[in-house]
Amino acid sequence: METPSNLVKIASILKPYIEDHEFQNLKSSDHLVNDLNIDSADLVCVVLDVENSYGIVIEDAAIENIKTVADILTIVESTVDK
Amino acid sequence: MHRVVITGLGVVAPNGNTIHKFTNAIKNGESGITYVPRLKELNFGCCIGGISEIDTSSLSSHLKESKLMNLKNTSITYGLTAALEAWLDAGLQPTPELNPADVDTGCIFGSGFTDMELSRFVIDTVNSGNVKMLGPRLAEQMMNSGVSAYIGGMLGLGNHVYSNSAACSTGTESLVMASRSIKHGYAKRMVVGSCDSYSPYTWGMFDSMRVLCRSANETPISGSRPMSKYANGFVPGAGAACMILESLESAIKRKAHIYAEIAGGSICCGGQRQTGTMTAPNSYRVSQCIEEAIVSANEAPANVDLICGHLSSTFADKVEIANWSRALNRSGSEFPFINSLKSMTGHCLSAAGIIESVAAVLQLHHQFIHPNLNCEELNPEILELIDESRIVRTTTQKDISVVMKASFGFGDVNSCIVLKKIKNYGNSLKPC
Repeated sequence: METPSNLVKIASILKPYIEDHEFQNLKSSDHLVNDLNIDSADLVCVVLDVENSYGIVIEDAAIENIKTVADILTIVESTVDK
Repeated sequence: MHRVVITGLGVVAPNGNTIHKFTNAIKNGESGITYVPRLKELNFGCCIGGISEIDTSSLSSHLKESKLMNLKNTSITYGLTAALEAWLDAGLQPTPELNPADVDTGCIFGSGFTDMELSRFVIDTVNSGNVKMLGPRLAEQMMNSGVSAYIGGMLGLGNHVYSNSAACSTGTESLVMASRSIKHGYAKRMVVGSCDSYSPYTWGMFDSMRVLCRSANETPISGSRPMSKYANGFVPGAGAACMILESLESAIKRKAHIYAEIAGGSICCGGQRQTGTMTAPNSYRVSQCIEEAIVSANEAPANVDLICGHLSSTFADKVEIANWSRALNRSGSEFPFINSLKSMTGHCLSAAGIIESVAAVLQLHHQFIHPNLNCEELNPEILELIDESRIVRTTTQKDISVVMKASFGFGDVNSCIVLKKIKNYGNSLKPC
């Protein structure tokens, strides 16, 4: 289940990777590449940061399916819940 | 054929990490060489060095926070900082992220050693079984072209972007190569420079060769003594510098400030034959390199006012003076003025050529000659070749029009440029 606190936490993780310094109001529907301009190498950094932040391990197969902020939230919610 | 001019300067040197600070330092003869405790702890013979101060504040407006956060390679950080200062100094702005690349501008930015501290981190991390922790941003920083790749991305460059490597000749070589790209019309503008970072793992190899100064650990600023009777080894240094070169037409069109013209240059190798070895230059090829540079500049040797030498504070200083004297056919009191920035910065290895070239441009632009420190007693073998009045030991205001700068490196490689002052900038622009 997506919670506002998780969205805030993910937003703080994503912030350094977003080119537009003025960018605010991250939405769960935002596409990481098309909307946030995060390249593939930075996406791996984001995954590492999420893993460290939540103390979880994200499987390689799951990384391939991460396209939007919502995808990250889904992985976090489902993994942390376990 | 296009004439090539310098329109921007940037520097991260041991005695000044902006052009403003560096200009003041070389005018005032300020040394950037200090005692380095870590070298003592590691049992080095030479415990002094010229380490440039890092200030990344200027980069934060032009790089993604994540990129800056993950930037671990000091050489690249030095290079980016110098490149950004030069680019802004030239009156240019980085290409916005969403715009197409600037196809008129390329970059040649060299380095010698990769950042050995970062290499150590990679090796330790892999050996500890934590390869995943390396993350995705280290490969691009460890590759030999890392610095030019980062600069190309920061500025949005779309012409030829690459890195060269020619030991201590790297920086001066990059200037000659970039000049040729512009001269022959392959690029309108080039971002040019080189960098090298501090690490005991790099400097240790030179310490082990016994080519570093071991007699000035108590008095660091006296250690680098080019042309002195007591020169007994170079002092290692680290930093970077950058110049923006562009065609004269391009500079005039956008009303850019012009520091000087690169009128000619030459690159060659001694082939480790005759007097040349892996570590010592072939004197005949050194002289020919200087001669070829003068010819390419369409200049007479008699018109050279100042030589900014390679002069690293070793036994080879006297050999270099003899090579200049033979190449220019000038000696005694007819020899040009000569100095060595290494007396203030130490030998910044692959960054030396470009940092010293920036100093050469500043002297030409501001019409002064910086002092050569620590040569109160000159090498008597040098005095057999040139008059002591030619070795500048206090800051001197001079009307100088033609300056030569050369660099020599391991592998018996040589490079040399000829800088000319530009007079009458405007409708009747011509070199003096």
